[in-house]
Amino acid sequence: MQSFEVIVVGGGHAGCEAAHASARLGARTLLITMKLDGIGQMSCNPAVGGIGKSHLAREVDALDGLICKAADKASLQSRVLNSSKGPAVRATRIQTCRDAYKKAIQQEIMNHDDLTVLQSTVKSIKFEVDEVTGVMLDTGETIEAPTVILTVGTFLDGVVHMGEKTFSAGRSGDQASIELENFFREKGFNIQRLKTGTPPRIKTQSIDFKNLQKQDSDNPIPMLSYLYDHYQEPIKSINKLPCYITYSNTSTHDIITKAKKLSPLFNGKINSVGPRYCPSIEDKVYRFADKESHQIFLEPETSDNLEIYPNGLSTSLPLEIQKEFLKTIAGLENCEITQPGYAIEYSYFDPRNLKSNLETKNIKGLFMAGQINGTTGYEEAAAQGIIAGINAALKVQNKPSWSPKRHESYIGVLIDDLITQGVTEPYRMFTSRAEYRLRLRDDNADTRLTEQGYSIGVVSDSRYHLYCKKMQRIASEKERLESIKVQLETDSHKLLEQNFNLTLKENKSLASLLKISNITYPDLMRLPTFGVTANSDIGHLVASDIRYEGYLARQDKEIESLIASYKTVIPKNINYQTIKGLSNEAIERLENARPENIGQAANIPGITSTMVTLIKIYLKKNKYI
Amino acid sequence: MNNQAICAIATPPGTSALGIIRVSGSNIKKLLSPIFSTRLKDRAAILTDIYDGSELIDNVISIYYASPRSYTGEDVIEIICHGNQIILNTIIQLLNKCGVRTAEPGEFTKRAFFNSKLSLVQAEAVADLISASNKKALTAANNSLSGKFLNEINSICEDILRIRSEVESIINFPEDDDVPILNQKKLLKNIINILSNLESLINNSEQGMALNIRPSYAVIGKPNSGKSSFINNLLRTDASIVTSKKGTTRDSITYELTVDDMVINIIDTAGIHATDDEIEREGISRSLKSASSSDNIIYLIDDTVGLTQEDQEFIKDNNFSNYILVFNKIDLTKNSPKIVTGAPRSVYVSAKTGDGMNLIKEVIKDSYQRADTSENIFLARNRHLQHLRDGQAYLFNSKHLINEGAFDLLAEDLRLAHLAISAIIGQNPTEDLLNEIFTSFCIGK
Repeated sequence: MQSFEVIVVGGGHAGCEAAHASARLGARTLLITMKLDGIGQMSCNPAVGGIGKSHLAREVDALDGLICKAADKASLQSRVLNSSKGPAVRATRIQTCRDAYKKAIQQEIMNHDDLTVLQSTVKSIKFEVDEVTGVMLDTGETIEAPTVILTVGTFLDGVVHMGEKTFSAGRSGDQASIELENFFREKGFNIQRLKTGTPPRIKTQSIDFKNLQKQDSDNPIPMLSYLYDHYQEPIKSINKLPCYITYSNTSTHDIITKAKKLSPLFNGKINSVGPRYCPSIEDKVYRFADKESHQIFLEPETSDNLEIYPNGLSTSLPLEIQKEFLKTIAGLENCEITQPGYAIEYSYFDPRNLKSNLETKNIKGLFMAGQINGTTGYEEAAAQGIIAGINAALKVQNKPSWSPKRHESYIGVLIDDLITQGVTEPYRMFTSRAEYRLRLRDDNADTRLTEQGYSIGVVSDSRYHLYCKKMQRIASEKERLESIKVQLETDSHKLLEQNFNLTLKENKSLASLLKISNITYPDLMRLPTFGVTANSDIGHLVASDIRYEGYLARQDKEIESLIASYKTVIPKNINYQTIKGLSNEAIERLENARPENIGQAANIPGITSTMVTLIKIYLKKNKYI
Repeated sequence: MNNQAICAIATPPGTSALGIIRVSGSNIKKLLSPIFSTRLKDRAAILTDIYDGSELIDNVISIYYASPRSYTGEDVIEIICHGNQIILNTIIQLLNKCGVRTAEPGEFTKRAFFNSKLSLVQAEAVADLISASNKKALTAANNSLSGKFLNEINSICEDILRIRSEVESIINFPEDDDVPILNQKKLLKNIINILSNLESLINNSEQGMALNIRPSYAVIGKPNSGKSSFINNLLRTDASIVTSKKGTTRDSITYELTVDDMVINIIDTAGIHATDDEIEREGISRSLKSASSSDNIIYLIDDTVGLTQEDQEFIKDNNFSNYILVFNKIDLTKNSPKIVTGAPRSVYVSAKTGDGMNLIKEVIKDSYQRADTSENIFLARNRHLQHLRDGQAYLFNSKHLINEGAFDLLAEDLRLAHLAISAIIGQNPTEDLLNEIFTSFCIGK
């Protein structure tokens, strides 16, 4: 076999982004997957985006990643969420065709010159001292490479629970995953358990949609990738399908309540922690007993619409109970289950063992990305994957590592949180995790990241060219809005008085009017003085920039000191025991996370600003800074 | 590092001939030029007036040390003014108005250290200083915002957290049917409520600040506990009327008392008892108000009756934290004068014969010495007030965003208000928010 520079183990959302990014950087990359057809598989609900998640996905897209483009090509139903709550918290979500999505991803993965794909099972990772040298396959064959990215998702020691039944998750290669896990335990990695769940799938034809609430795509159809949205590249879309909404009721809840003993989540069989924001139906019924109904979204799985994913009905109850409670739900009275729901327990690696480039601290050249780090969600996986792929390639090219920071991306928030705080439940992105949320909009990820991505080589020339064109259009529209003034006593002024109760004392530019929080770009377009623009489609971006100007300026000083704190490096061999004034608890937390710099140390829970100062005093005294 | 200009009083608390205020930061000469009548020069002692607008505050000597040749390595101005605490405090407030923040304890030394201005020997002590200062600041927070105030801050933080959790749920989980639709009227009402709580907290703190330039002791007691005789004996004057008719002393009166070299305030409060008389009730509520804004409480008990359940409930209901129990009239019970340690401490005295009254001063001296390990109360409270005012400004701004449905900006202002106010109690509220959301609402599409 030819020689490789980067080996990616796993072909899920993290693995695909990692492998493709590394190949885009020109590193000779090998993707090893247990099943070729599993590449790009959506193993949970068939949707990309949502609040906080489209933010992440579009950052991956701004770095020329795969997830948004594939989702657009596979779009069945697309909606903008939070459209009226302010541009920073607006998000896009696409219900996709599972098959079309997979196909779109596979096309990208199979057609890159620097990317080779191998169907096989990795049995162990090869090392010399504390450095990766390659992987060994279950056939005994060794493939050498200076960097390996592990993106094996829930495949490490997965155990499926369905009522009384439990079985080892997955396919024939599963045995190797257990071996891999034992191997890492021996190497001193901290491995913990989490759980998640999935609902039963239902045969579409067996559902009576007649009386259910229908939910169509927005019009115009929103796109996730900047390529098709802001850059206006043509796209071939597939046929559209609606989602439907139904509700559970007290009969449903009665059945679930009676079956409590049979749920492995509640009878003690599962002890690991699941996500609080994605509870099973039994969780919802038991914990919020006074709620008489819970909302269920019926989402199409594929464009041929054979199967429905009932979102909100994740369960680990026995199949018989699943059948029983489904029949109490409006529209599902005669439904047929195609695949039962289940809960799955799996292993993850404590992500505090990772550096901000997602390389492990104890083994050089070994990277980890995705669910294996305790996260959940395709977007979270893709975001880590692209960073791991970029950095593995940078490493073999002897270039400095690159990872965006908290104030410039959700990717930065994600990675910073993972490596400093670890996880106690599957980590999902929420916009409330980002202190600098107002600057991290899902419509400006390219203005935050594409330039940087281009300079490290992960963004192609053609894409960069499109980005530059958009920036020019933004600049010229901004200039236009600044130059046009609403004159006193004109029709435009009268309209403002009528619509906004706004009386001007002097002539005001259109740009300055946008700083008033309830005036939007479409409002300006209705003023006679607005005139004609070639760039009305990106006008709302300009308007968002202007809306937040004041708020963002307030953060500038804070961000300056944040950047400085990330530049203050903490030496690897620091002995926290010798730092005066740190409590034992603080020492333990610092030792668990072993932050690379002061910025990371400050993000560890329980580490106060005084403790951070004490660490800095220690560094200064010992001439590290 | 945050390089915002900082100020602090460099001389120890108490009245002396001169007081020194130190300011450090970049470009502070320009920043502060409006308050000085004369232009400052590098490393020259300049006699100048300090003005707040057109109002003359004091005639002072100011020395400007340009960076890096200064104590902290930044631009430094030293203001040597008259040693009266009120003048010092007024100047600090004037500096705050100009955008100079009240320094955290140890912050000057910290800046000097990081700008390599300390010798190796001095540097050794910096870590100790910083961790000790942190403890001091925490103690100061407790002293400054004792009992009730601390509770109020906590409850304001909880109120803001609840509102944030609602707003953040609406932002983060728009499709969940359990997330409430924002009730603009209710939200506005809640914010107005918090603002009015903040307002009264700020007013009380400001009043307390004027009062608490010196440590203060509020004397509280039921009628016939011998409160006026007790105070008269303590002050050795006949300033207040001594009589056995219930409820004679209606208003709180503040007296000065010298214990060794320091001056403290003794606040004589109205007697406390159930009454229908409106004027008396007003007096009683003022009693409680002065008690809550003073650093310490002396709770007087008639030793012939002893500590009753009613007393204990009263102490608990009013959240008294720093208090001493004084059992008066031992001339009648034949108890001997003594201090019983424990929490709270008890002192047995007779105001009539004077037996044990010296022990009161002992206890005051002792607690003052303890309090001395904390930061200057004025500066601490001043810093807390700044946080409260910041929080107030953000909340005020958030009000008009509700009607406009500007959730993004509303959430940001609420976040900043939460951060500002929770900084007083040294907490970072980020993780609380997600917990609050997940316990309040059934989330999960």
